[in-house]
Amino acid sequence: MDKPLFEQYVTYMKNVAKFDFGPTIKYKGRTVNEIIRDKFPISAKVGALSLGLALAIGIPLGSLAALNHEKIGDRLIMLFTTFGIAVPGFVIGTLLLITFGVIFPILPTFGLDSWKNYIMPSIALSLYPTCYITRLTRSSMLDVISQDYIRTAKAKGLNKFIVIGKHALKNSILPVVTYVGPLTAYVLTGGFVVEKIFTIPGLGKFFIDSINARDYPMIMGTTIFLASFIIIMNFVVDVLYPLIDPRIKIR
Amino acid sequence: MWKFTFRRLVSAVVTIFLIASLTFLLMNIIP
Repeated sequence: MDKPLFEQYVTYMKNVAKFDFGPTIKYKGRTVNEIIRDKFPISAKVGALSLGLALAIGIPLGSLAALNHEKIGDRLIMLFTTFGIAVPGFVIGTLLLITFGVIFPILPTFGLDSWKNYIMPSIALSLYPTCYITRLTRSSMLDVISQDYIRTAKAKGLNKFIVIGKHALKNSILPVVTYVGPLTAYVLTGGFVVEKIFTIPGLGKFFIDSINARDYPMIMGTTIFLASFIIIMNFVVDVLYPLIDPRIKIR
Repeated sequence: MWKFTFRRLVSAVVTIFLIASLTFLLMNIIP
């Protein structure tokens, strides 16, 4: 700390290259690495659940909306997705807490002791991605089902489910993959506010606590960890592209 | 394919270091 700024910078970058973010200020005797190692799995568990939920609901719902284009089903699904995108996660979290924690006390409101604890955070965290994936799937599916080869597939007398599931979905999944890459990184590292609301001791909660405590090494460590994760996920998506759609050639 | 992957990997690593530098700079500007 008493060295000139440039020397501090060089030392810091050397440590970053070794993924060593140094000790924290708030939690004495613990390093940033230890905290990330301890807390990341907790956030990742909730995140993986929400991601699974978002994909499992979003893609079928989007396909359904596209197949019922301009009909009542489509309108209802679009209404739901607009609501999901417009309302932030912490509002949904608080509403869920009040409804299922206070008015009908059927779910625990804090901690992560049993599987029941995971239900509300996962729903709150996955609502926005679900709605976004639904909209993405719907728009690309609409584009794909008006193509000639879908008409050919239908004319061959193929089952409707095979036409949609095998031919249309395969080509309309690309925008979803683009979105899922960075989303995975964001969701796995913890929806910051959602974790704070449900008092989940994950990475997001520690990140917010470190900002409040002005714990600089912790803020820098978590920021770089999150940024690296997003960049790595983008890299994975770029490499996966040509495998999903062979029309995309890499030059 | 491999050339692209390698180039993309290098750019990813460089970006991570740029972000690390920026974070360091910001943290030292903030009083």
